[in-house]
This record gives sequence, structure tokens and C-alpha cells, in this order.
Amino acid sequence: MKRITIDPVTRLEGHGKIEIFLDDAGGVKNTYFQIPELRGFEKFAEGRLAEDMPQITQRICGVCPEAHHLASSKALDDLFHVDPPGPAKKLRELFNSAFYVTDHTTHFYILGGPDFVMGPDAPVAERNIVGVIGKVGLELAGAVIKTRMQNHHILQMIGGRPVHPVFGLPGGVSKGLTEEQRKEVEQIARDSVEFAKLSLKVFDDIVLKNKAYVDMITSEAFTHRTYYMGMVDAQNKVNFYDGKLRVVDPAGKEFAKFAPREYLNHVAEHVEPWTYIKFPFLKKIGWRGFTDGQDSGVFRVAPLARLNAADGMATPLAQEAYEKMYSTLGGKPAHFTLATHWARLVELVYAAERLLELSRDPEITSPNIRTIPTATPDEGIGVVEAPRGTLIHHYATDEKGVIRKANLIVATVNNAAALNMSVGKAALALIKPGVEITEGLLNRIEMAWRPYDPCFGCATHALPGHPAVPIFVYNDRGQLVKNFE
Amino acid sequence: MLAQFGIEDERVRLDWVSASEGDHFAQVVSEMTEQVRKLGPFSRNGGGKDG
Amino acid sequence: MAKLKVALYWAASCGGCEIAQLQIGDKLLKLVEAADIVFWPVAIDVKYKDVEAMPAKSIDVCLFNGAIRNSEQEHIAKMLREKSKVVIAYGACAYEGGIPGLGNLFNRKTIFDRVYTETPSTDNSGQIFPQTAYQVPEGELTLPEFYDTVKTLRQTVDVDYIIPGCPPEEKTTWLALEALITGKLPPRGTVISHSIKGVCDECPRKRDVKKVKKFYRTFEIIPEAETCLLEQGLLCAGLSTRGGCGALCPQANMPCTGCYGPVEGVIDQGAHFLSAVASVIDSNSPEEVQKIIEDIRDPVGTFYRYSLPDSLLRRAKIK
Repeated sequence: MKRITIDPVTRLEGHGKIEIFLDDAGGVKNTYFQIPELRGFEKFAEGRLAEDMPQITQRICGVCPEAHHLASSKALDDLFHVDPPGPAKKLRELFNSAFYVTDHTTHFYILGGPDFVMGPDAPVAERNIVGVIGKVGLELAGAVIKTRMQNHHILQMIGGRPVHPVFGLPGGVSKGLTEEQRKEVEQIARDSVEFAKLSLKVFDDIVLKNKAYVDMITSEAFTHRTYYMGMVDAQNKVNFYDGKLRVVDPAGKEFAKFAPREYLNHVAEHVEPWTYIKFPFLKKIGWRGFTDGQDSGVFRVAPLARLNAADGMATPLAQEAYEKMYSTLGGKPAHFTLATHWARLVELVYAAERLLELSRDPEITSPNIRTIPTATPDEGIGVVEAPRGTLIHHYATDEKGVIRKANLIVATVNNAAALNMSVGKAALALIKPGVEITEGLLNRIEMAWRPYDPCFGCATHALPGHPAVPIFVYNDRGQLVKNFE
Repeated sequence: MLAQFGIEDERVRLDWVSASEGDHFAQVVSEMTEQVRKLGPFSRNGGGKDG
Repeated sequence: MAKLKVALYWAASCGGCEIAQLQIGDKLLKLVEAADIVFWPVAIDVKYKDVEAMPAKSIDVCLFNGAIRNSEQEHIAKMLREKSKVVIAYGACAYEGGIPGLGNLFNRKTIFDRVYTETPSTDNSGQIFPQTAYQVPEGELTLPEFYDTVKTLRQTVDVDYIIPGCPPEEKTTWLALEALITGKLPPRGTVISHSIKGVCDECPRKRDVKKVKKFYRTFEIIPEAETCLLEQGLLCAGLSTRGGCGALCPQANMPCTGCYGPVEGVIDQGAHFLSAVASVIDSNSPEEVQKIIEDIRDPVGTFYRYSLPDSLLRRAKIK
């Protein structure tokens, strides 16, 4: 049987390999998206001090250490039965908002962006950040860099370091904001809101006004009808820091809404022998394999899912963008995986608006940022929305707060099944007997997974001249017939 | 910390012996030698790869 | 002058080093003028086969971050060593094993058992584990072998320089890159940082005599803003950690955890930290000392947070 191996998948956070098996006619038989690595945090957490977990678990991901740091800090609050003072919670949420601004900006302009700004079939030499800068101009490119740098500055101000913060503790945070710093944050937030609005306009000009892109976004090849999960506040609006977890079914009807503490009643993980990643699914539906629909427990998380699972956005400009998105896409829920790029920008607006709101909160410079825990620790669960999805930290300790057991369900993992399915469906739709396998076609298959995983945040450039992935097509005698390098 | 490394308590002993306490020295060394012999060679990874 | 050919790779790491490399900000333009990035799988579309095809020593510098956890990472480390004139261990994981190195308190079996069967959300009554080779109806799928023990880069290949930190701070990264661009490299084997002394040297907190009668957990106290954290009973690794980072963590009111590795001349960072802590304990009574050290409930996690694979013992014994 012929096969196409993509190894490694590039512009992805982590390592990945895709194997596409072809039948004799040249159509796709099956596709497997394998994750070849594991580090074992859920085991080596055992024996660690609970309060060290924010700093240890954030090394799961140096792109979103902020998310782990916060989920872990919340798990510690729960573990030690301690409620942080209001200002501490607001500081954590402010920090989270600034982080979302940097991360979502990076993904749209540097990772997802080139596919749309330059086009899926653009020469590989141009389909990268350098090409994007050329197309959108230095002014916008400068705004991208400035927005990232400024918000990273906020992260260092509050978290202590630019990468891998240190400020989270059970009962609060280790460092507050001075009034001088607060003014700086407020100005950065104002600039960020303007930048977010501009980004929506960029998307409108470059993507929505281009019929070919809209057709691609709404095409069946890039559509899956799954369940969707996201965190919502008491009004069922998207919230990245705190709230309940809400699941809607493929028709958009609320299927479940639960407190983070109850996650085990709702989410389970399936194991396959051909990959190191696990596949979360909805327990009440069950694992029915790599398939979507009402009867399959496969669900999705991250921007599109969050917007699908909520009733709206909590800030005005984001709400406006939310309504426009759904009216354009034909209603809720939106099943178009590529629309995740749009949803991400709606969230960017919300994050910037929320950052501004919190920077103006009268409590934000309060020195009252720690409550010393007094209760005996036992078990704690902390959940936030990471940019890539729902993030769950669950710890059990002895009476001195030494970790006995840890369970982690980490954001992108929730999309593992959908990732596999999206790549498979795109490959099936695009690779047909007699159709020439061009670079553009292969890139379109890559575009099926890119919306899910923002890779790592940072300005980068892809040097031109090579295809996005190594593709070797062999005939049934094992001879190389086509080579895309 | 030794416990976290899986090093048995019996492999470590702290004792004070002065230069003039010949008998005591002999006794401590013999006891310790026998104790460690009973435990067998220290292998970190159950004798698997990496020792 | 010909551009430097630079390769960057990540093994068992978190991506934080990639972010750190780009924290150099607009100095990136200086780098791009001087260098061509020929391999960087997470950001650039060059594949393993392309690197295999490169002549030996055709890459000028390889910045390698991440620890060696599996067979693929070992293979790529060896391949890059062959293709590169200079190999630099970038970041704590490549240098000392880093956080993934804490996996050396366990092994493959205990880790797999936990991850694939024991966690409360895992539904795996069939006891399925990932296989290095697995037959599906369409053909064979392969995965790298997960080793029992995490290794550092130096335990795998010859390493020319080290850039310490988790991740390295911007000025540390630039110190090394500038040396590369100008050709003014220090002696082979150097740990490149602005400091060979401890973090205490850079820390603005006031230091006095260290006499500790009780060690506190970070959540138990709100430390004074101006005084040395170790003197206040927090287990700050500053005195056994190389400086160059600017002592950022103590300025955020949290103790240093040791991410820049040992000070110059020390080969086992954890043992050094441990003896430093022992030396500040203010007591001569064995019973009192015993009580004081009982509060240090995770010695390996505290003293060897980033350096377990690089320690003298390297790993724990599994029964």
C-alpha cells in the first residue's frame, strides 16, 4: 500500500507526524496523526511540594506557561481551601488577558496568517511572516511586534519574568501593581484594543472579501459537527479565567454545564497504541471512534468551540464581532474548522477589552494580594481556558501538601481526536485518483490542523525555498515517484 | 533525600571513631560491610538499562 | 563575509527556549544579517531528510534545547553533532536535564502506568500502551522509544558551549550570539553568562548573617521586601546558582529555584545547595536540627529541581 509520510509536521507546537495510506487507485484509505513524544508530568509531580506546581507544570509549555501557572494556582486555592483576596484574582485575570493578547496575535499573524494573507497556494517562499510583512506593510507589522512586546512587558511586570512566571501562590499572588505600573498597563490596553479592531479589519479585507477563501472556510472538507466545550461566566458569556464549563451539542443545544470540580463525571481519555497522546471524549456519550456527530463523544475546545458553547461575549466590541461572525457564517454553532481563525480574533478583542477594564479597576493596585492558607490541604482542582482550550489541573496531596497524585488534561489534548479527524477528512477530500499532488494541495491538508494549535508564540520567520512538509510519494514497488522537498 | 533516590538507610552510617579506638573502628567497619553485603550491589534502575 | 549557517532544534522541551531566543527582539535583525537559519522544525519548513543530506560540519552553529528523553531526540542530537561545527546546549534541559529530568525519579514503566492506565480520567480497561511499532490494517506505524532515563545533551554528544537558564534571559542569549557573530568565542566548554558567581551577587536584597531556625514554605509567609529570602527561612537557591539572570525571581518576592545551573566549579548543583542550606541552620542540637530539616519535604525537588540528570547519582533507584 502506498503511503505519504509527513515528518516532522512543522509550525506546530510540539512534535508530530502524519501518515496517509493510499489505496491502489490513489485515493486515501486512512490517515494517522501521531504524536511521538511524552514527558510524564502526571507521574513526576508525585512527591513534589504542591506550591511548586505552578512553576513545575508551566514547563509543560513555554508558549502558554501563563495558562498552566494560573490553572495550577487555582488548583492550589482549592487544595488549601483558601480564597485569594479580590485584588489577587483580578491581577491573575489581568495577567491572563495580557497573555491572550500576545498569544492570539502571534498565532494569527505568524502561524495562521500566512495561509490566508498570502494564500494556500502561494509559493512556499512567500507563505511566511516575511511575505505577510510585504503584503500588509511595515506599519501593520510594526503594530504586531509592538503589541506583543508591550503585553509581554505586562507579563514580566506582574509575573516576575518574561517567560515562566513565578507569582502564583495558594491564596493569592506574590507581587502587586504600583499606580505607575497600572497607568502603563492601561495605556497598553488602550493600544491593544485598537490593534484588535484593526486585526478584525485585516481579516475582513483579506479573507472575508475573498470568495475563494470563504468557499474554503465553508467547505465540507474542513467541517466537522462535534460537541463544543468552553468556560462561561454566570451569564453564559465567554470567560478565560473563571466560571463553569459548558458543553453544547452539534445542534448548539446545551448538553452539560458543570463546575470544574465535576470534570471527571464528564471527560474521559481514550488511548491508542500508535501515538503517545490520549484522546479525551464526553463520558456520557462514549468513545465511538474518530467520528463526529450527535452520537460521538468527540468534542472540541479553543476559540471556535468557546464561542459556540457560550451565548455571547462579555465586552461590547467583542460582542459586536461575535454577532457579525455568526450572521456571516449562517448561525450557531459554526462547524467550520477554519473559522477558528476568525473566532480567535473575536477573542483577541475581548482579551484587550477585558485587559482595559481590569486596568481601570479601583482594586487593581491594592496591596492586599495574599491570604495565608490555614486549612489542611487534601485535593484541589483548578481550571482555566488556555488559548488552545480548556486546561484542567487536579492534585491530591498528603496533609503537608506533598503531591500524592496529579491529573492534567491539557488544552490541545481535548482536540486530539478532532485533529486526527480534520487531517483525515481534508486528505480524503483533496487526494483523489488522478489529481496531481501539488504543494498547495499538501498545504491545504496542513491547514486542516493549523487552526487548532497555535504553536509557540513569538515573532519568527520561515525562510523561503522549501515545502512546508517533507512529502515522498512511493508507488507500490517502493520506488519514489514524487518528491516535494 | 537519600530515600527519594531509593538509597536504603542501611547504606549510610555516621559514626565517630577516634584514632585510638581500634576495636571500635573494626567493629563499625565489619558491621557496615556485612550490612551492605546483605543488600547487594546498588543498581539504580532495577538492573535494567542505566544501571 | 559569508553568513553563518545556524540550526535550532528542540528535544524534550517546552518551547520556552524558542520564545527566549526571540526575546532578543530587534537584535534579531542583526542576527538575520549575519546568519541563515538552515534548520528549525518548529518554525521553518526544513525536514530531517534535508539535514541528513547536509555535508558534515556544514552547519556553523547548532543551538540545541531540550533534554534527551527518547530515541528520536538522541538520533537528531547525534545527527546535528555530525553536521555542525559548534553545538551549544541552550537552556536548562539541554544543559542539566531540566524539569523533564524529574522523570528520573521514575522510569518508563511507572510513567506509562500512571499516564495510560492510572489517572482518574483515563478510560483504558484494555491496558493499551503506545508501541514503538504497531500494525494497523493499512501498514506499520512507528513511534520513538521512550527511555527509562532522561539524559543531558553532554551525556549524548560532545558539546562546545552552554547557555544556561530556564529559559536563558535575553541578555544571556545575546551574549552568546554576539560572540558567535563576531567570532570572539570563549574557551571551549564555557558556560556563557555574565556571571560566574551566584545569583546573590546580583540580588538587590540586603544580606546579613544567615542563621535559620525554621524553614518556611512559600505560601506560609509574606516575606519582607528588602531582606534576603534565605535569611527569612525560604529555601532560595541563589547561593548555589549561577547569576546572569538579574535575580528576577527574588525581586518578584519568590525564591530562586536554580534554573541557571551551578556556580563555576561545582559539578553537582543539588549537593552544593544542600550543603549551603545545612550551613545556615542555627542549631547544635541533633534533635533540633532534625526538626528543622523535617520541614524540607521534597529535597530532590528543591535541591535538584533542574539538574537531576546531571547530578552524580543521575537518577533514583526504582524497586
